[in-house]
Amino acid sequence: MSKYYYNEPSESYDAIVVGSGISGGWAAKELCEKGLKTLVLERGPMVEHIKDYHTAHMDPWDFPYGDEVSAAVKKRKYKQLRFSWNIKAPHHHYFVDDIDHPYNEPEGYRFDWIHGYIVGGRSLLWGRQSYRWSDFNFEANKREGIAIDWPVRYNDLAPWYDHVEQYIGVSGENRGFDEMLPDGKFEPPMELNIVEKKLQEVVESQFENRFVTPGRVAHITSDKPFEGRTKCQYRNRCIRGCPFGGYFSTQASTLPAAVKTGNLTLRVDAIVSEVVYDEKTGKASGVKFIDKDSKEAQFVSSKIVFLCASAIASAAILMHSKSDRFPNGLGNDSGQLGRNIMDHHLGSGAGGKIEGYSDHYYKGRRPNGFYIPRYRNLNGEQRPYKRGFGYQGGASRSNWQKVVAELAYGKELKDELLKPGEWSIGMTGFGEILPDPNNRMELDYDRLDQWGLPTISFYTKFSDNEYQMREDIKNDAVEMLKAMGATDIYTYDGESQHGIGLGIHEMGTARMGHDPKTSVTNKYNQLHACKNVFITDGAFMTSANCVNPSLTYMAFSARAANYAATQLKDGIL
Amino acid sequence: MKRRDVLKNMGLGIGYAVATPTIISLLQSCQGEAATGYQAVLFSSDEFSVLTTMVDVIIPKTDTPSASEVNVPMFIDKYIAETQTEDQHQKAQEGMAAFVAVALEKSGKSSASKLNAEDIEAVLAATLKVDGSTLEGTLKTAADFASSMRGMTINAYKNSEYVGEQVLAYASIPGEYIASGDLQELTGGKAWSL
Repeated sequence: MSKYYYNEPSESYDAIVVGSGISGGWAAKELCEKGLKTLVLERGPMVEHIKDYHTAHMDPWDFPYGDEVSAAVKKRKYKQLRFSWNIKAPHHHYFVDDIDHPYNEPEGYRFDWIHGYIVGGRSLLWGRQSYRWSDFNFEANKREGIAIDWPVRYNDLAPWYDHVEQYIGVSGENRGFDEMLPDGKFEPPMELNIVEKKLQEVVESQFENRFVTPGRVAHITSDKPFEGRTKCQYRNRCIRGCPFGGYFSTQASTLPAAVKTGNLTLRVDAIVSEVVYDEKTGKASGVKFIDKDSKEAQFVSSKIVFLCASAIASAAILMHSKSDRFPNGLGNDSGQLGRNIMDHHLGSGAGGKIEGYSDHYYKGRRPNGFYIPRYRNLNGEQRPYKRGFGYQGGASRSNWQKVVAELAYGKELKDELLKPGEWSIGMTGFGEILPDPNNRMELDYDRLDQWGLPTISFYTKFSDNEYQMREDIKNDAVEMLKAMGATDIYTYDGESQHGIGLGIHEMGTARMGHDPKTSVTNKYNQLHACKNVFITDGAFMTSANCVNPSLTYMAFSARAANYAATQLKDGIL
Repeated sequence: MKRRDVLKNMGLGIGYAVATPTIISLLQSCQGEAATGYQAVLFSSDEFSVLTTMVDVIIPKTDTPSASEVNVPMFIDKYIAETQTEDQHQKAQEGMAAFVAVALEKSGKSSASKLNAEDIEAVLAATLKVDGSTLEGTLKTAADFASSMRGMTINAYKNSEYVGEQVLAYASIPGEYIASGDLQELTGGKAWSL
């Protein structure tokens, strides 16, 4: 079976996009729509929209062990299992096999690289939370003298946020939190339930600057037409792939747009090993890739290259792209390539029970909850740590689990367990991690993978800033839950079971900046030192903020693709 | 918020004994494979019949099926044997041995094959209806096992095909979201199965 889709293979293209996930899909769509003959190289297999979502309609009883996977699968996916919910029967097949795809964590370091090699990448698997950055966020490094300044501000990005939100559909509520969380072009919000509304009322009336709003998620919630897609059906089985196209994925949204132009070619099972630099032109001439199965290498040429393989994989490709001009990796004059690895630290928070509301219930499995935007270290407040966190949480009626003597077993237990349980509520912090050049990755040429490529070693660890912040995450959550009258309040902090990476928001390995001496890309996501190479996945991020990053990757990808197409047309590239 | 649940669970530690009540979607397997004639993998055949009796004391037959009628014992045996680690297998086997030992002592019977529902219920009463922190030794091991089996039985029962589709309120494709409504109007007072 051919590994090429939508067009026959060619030896050269206008553009090559490495990776077909959130940013690669967007780059491909925009480049194709600008008329560029574009090749997308994806190292994983094809996952065709609808047709290949083979678990989409399966219920728990359709699997041998419910949601659980066999011990044999767990043994092979032992690192992916660190995010245990990902390795469940309905969707574990999308995540990599850690034996086949090893990486290294030297003594004293930990990095949780949770990822899948498939067409669509994380766009299929993501949490779909979508938040804009504000000027307050873009200015943070400069204001605090941390790392380097972002070379862009909100105004540069706002039209691209509009463009992306309107195309993909983002459900949310405009509340005018402009300093922390700018409004957007939203689909109708997913309403809070009665207990969440109680939280909202209590928090917004009793705590200064704290707000509770429905999570902003990339789901269609109106009857407005979105080509080939249907609005969210409230199944909450998103990660299996949505046969309705209810949420944004490459498959549902950007890939069909690119295919429609006739300009797209997709090559699957194509492991890009390096971007080839041409000393004569001072530009990249194309890329080399290795076929996953035959292990044969080949070169394909192009006028521009977009790296959208994920922050880690794109940096690894550049680090491995060595030449006389770039002995330390393509575009790495600054020495910052592979450094400043960031993520969001999560896993700490609090929960409790809510008495009453026993006549209230809901219908539909809402794939979303509430969001509390960052409120710490604003307006001159100075906590013992820098930056801040937002909360994501939800309230629901739990499965029946109460253990009281008279309901220990028997008919009384049986009658009770078929009714909805009591209400519970919880919230988890998503905290910012500061850029630190010591949080870095290196290539290990003594340990090669089965394609002869160096494996990645991670030197990453949390700092005191994160640990301090986690105390506030727990304490503030308890304070808000107490205020709303929650009982049996508990806190959690999966610190010892949590490394950088577990937020699955890894970023920062090829940061953007004004100065080529301290940054890898410029404000258009373009390598300072090799202008026809662009990086629009999380690698370009100069700081992390505390909001989920995918919407921002999409906006930067669309912006960079349009810039690149114009530069190419004008003969500059 | 799946992540919240996941990370909360991580914070509590994953092991079948503590995690089973939080594994939301346990389910019954092997539709069409009759429980009778099932060759237990983890437990001996005598122990498997103790388990079968036990799950039906926990969830007896009423106008809806008992736990064993929707193959809960088979699900539990296979689930532990095929998805859990060897340490966890050992823990379950030790728990079962302790449970049987307590049952034999209380009933004065000589072998597991002679234990009936009354004998099993006596052990469940002595382990689940008391303050667990007062228990020690074999009785404590039996109580931990009974508690774990109770959690697994509830989850496996609720996630069996019959109960999930016919007994609980089932909506494979809800198609809409109603944030707050009346429990009786929405489901007639039942919990959603999914």
